Amino acid sequence: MNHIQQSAFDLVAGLKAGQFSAEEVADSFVRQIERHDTAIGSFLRFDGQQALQQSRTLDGSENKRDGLAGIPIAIKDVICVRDQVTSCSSRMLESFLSPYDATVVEKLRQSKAVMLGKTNMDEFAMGSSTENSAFQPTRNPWNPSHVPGGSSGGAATCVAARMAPLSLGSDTGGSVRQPAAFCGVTGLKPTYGRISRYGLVAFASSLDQIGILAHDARDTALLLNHCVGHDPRDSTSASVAGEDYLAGLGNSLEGLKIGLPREYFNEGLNPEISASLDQARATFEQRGVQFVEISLPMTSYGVATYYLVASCEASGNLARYDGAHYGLRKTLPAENRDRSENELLRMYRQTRSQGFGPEVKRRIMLGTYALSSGYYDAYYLKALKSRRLIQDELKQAFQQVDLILGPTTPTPAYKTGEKSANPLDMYLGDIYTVIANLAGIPAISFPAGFSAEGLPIGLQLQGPAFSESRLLQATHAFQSQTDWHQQDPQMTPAGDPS
Amino acid sequence: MKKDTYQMIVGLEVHVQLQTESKLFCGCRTTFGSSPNTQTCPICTGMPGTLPVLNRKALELSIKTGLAMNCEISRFSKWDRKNYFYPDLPKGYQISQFDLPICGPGWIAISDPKERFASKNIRLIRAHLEEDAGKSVHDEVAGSADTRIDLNRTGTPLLEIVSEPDIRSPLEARAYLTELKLMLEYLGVSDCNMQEGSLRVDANVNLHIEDEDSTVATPIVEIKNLNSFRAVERALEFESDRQWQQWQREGITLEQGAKTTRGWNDAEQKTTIQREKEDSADYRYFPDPDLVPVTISEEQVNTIRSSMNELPAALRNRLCKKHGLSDYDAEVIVNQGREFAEYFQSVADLSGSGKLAANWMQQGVLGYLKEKELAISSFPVSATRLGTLVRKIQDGELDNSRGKDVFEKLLQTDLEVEAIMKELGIEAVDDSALEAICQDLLAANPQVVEAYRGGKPQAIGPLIGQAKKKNPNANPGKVREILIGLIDG
Amino acid sequence: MQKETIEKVALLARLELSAEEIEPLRIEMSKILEYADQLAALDTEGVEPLAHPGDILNALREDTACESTDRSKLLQNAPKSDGEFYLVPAVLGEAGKS
Ligand SMILES: [Mg+2]
Ligand SMILES: [Zn+2]
Repeated sequence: MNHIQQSAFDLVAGLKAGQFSAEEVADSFVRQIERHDTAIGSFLRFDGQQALQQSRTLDGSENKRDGLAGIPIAIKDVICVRDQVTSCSSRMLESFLSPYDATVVEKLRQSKAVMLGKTNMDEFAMGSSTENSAFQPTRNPWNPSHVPGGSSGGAATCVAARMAPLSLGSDTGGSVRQPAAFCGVTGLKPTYGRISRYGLVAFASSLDQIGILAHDARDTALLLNHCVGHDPRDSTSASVAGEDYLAGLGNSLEGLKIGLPREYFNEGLNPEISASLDQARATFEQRGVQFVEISLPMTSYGVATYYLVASCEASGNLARYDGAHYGLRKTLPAENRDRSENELLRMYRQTRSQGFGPEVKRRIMLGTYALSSGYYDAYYLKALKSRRLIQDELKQAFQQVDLILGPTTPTPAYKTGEKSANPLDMYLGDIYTVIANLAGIPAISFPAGFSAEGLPIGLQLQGPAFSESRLLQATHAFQSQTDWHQQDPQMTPAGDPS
Repeated sequence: MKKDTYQMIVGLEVHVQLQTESKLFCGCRTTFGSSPNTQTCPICTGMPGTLPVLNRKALELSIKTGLAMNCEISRFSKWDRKNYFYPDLPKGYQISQFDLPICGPGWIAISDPKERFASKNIRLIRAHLEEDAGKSVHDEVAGSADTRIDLNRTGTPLLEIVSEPDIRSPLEARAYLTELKLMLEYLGVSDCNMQEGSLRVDANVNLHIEDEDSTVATPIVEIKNLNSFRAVERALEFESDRQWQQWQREGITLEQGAKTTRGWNDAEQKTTIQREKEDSADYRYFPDPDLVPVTISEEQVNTIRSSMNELPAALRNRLCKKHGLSDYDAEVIVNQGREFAEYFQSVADLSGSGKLAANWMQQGVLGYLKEKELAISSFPVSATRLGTLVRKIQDGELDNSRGKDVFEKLLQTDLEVEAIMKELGIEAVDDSALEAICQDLLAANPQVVEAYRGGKPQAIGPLIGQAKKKNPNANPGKVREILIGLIDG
Repeated sequence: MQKETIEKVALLARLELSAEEIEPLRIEMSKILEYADQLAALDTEGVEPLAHPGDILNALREDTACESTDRSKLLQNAPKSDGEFYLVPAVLGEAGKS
């Protein structure tokens, strides 16, 4: 029996009931990966034998009924797994072996999930297309000439291509939700502080949050249950207790108020996405949801605010990659040396120039500039104030409405290479997603249609801090009514005649 | 121009390692001298994905120190990143405090009982909590091309105490540092071991020069690597002299010249210019997003305040008032440290004479400790035994010289004072026996009686000596009293 | 944005940019900053900067020491070490440390 079409929720039920074994489950996904990943490129490192071995051990143990026992999970390569390479898709960390487990990985081990491997991403999570990986491209399973989105491109595609039922990504400005939208899967960015960041390699610490990619809201809730909780190792970890996100999933939406921000509907929004939004509104209304038009004028400042804050923090977070204590070290051959420069400085500059790709360098440059003396007030400080206004505006909006609905992205997945020449264009694609990171609120992207070209369309719900339950309930209700999330891409395995 | 036409202006930055079990942001130990890189973990080596969590004790020790230095304690404090690249700084930034340090403005009073400078308050700008860097070892002798990096010290909590430029001489600088160090030791917040780098001093120094009708300032020089108080004094002397020479040669003022950094070379007793970084320091401070702010309540401050030991200045005052000590004596005793001062107080209480106790502490005890290079904790005579001895001297049961004999025995044996006195044959002589001796002496020395009556009271001196020869336990004061009584009678 | 500024920032960030990299980067950064300049129009008078999206305060740990990590485990990632120390190219007398 092939298990790849089953939801993680059903897999848990089947495994608990003894209908099939963890090894059978692992085997289905391992074979799917072996069949399709050459073409898709989701995984940077995948160890099928290890996954099968782990499942077999589990089948023979008394832990086989634990929380996520036997459920295969893929991990974005920005999350540390002990004694394994954590590269962040960067030359800088190509052979870096993490000496420790991220808190979320510890939790998954305790839940007895089966780790399939590490997924591809934009280098250090900087990018929206996974084109910035130093190692390989990742293709959109719906159309290989299109990007999968990013930075969690590998994490989204492996779920879309049914190579993993669940995966962990990270979302700093939309890096879970945007690839989820591009690949037709469900992607949740929880409230800032909901899932421990300990072991998540930092891009922009005040924006980063580990997120979940799955087929539907129910699977998302299942995995979320096993990831949340206060972590004393993360000072920014929320002390608000986690909930059983599965428990209230079927609650009625009767009386729920959803806001539609006027500012989301501008000339930049693709008409097909706009149409999906209208359709979705009708679906929600059938479930008793009341829609309210609201105004969020700070929306237009989101991208500028985000790129300043994120780049400034990144310039500090990435200073540790200097060739001294771990990771790549580069020096110049003696004949090319400028003798006036000291050797240490030369090592720093060579290592960082050869170890980082162009997008990472660009953001480090931008952040360094915006923090440097004379520019701090005009850029960094100004951005922090704008960020306050954005958060305040959302807090006010949530006095009026329970959730906010909008597009996840202005367009469906674009073609590979289409935007790589124009970074600002690519940044502008993050307009709908960055707000949630700036405000620290949770947001979820869910499949809501297809473009005429056959590319998935995603919509986003945002809620106030710690409203994950409500977001998941609304998404679940929508998914009970629609089947967009159940569509599968037609894939041609590498080597198969097409 | 004469030398006395300029004034040295000095501000000091002192980095103090706080005495915690674990580092500021991780659980690694802070023990000095461990094998290289054995007190590190993913957090303090700046591994990707790791996060800092603030040590509560370090925060409390900072508040305690701030209170002792009369600082305003911030109700809201936060952490910032100071960005620079150096191999002993594995994250590429130091977690420090920029605009909201734990301790705001304060002051430390300094004075000199010898009155070489007038008592004054050295104002403090601030004191902030930050993490220490690791150590770079460059072994030139071995000729190795590489610098070796040990990260054991990385992340040790440091309190950086910054003074206003209120210091005007090397002597004041030493007094300030002495008082600060003493205060830290009394509080128990740091061991202040300069050899081990628990207390490190940087000095900012320039000159204010009287030039015709106006005062001009020379460019500020920061002197690093001052690893003893002596070095601070010598470096300030050297540097003021050097700046004076340079001013006379070049005439560059504060406004015209940049701040420079110089290192103190202890072997050559001079400061030398340190190579500047390739880029002028631009640390790009910004709030550390990995650490949340700290709020400090009035209640918390009061709890810490009430747990504080008595500070040196208050103790000196108390010793002067309660035991009638001079400022000088109080300073000598208090400056020996808390244990020494406690020992003194026991002796003073037992003996009933603070002054006498102070003399014995300085001559007897301190003399011995210095000679043997011991701390008061290893002094062989308990405060009770010494107190008993001083009491007997105070009560006239012993004179000073017999007291010294007993003291010697106290050092060498475990015997009690009474037992030693017995062994040495010291016992109280009753008055009738003394009177008999005195009568005999006066009868044998009529010329002394004559001289005394003729207005030379000092003439009876030799008789006191003779009385002691006849009976070594004779108390000289008592003998004098009896002799005079007999002559006058 | 000037070429010299790019070079100065690159040095601060310890990046080495080739001659071919500088000009495109200068143009891209100028465009991004020009876009970011829209923030200047925003009235932020009296607005408190927001550095942390959550409202957590006082995250403290008790002062208890725990076992450090095995040295070999950490040094295995070092580009160069002698088994005891990290080794880096020599630098002497560089000023500007804390
Ligand atoms: Mg400092
Ligand atoms: Zn540590």
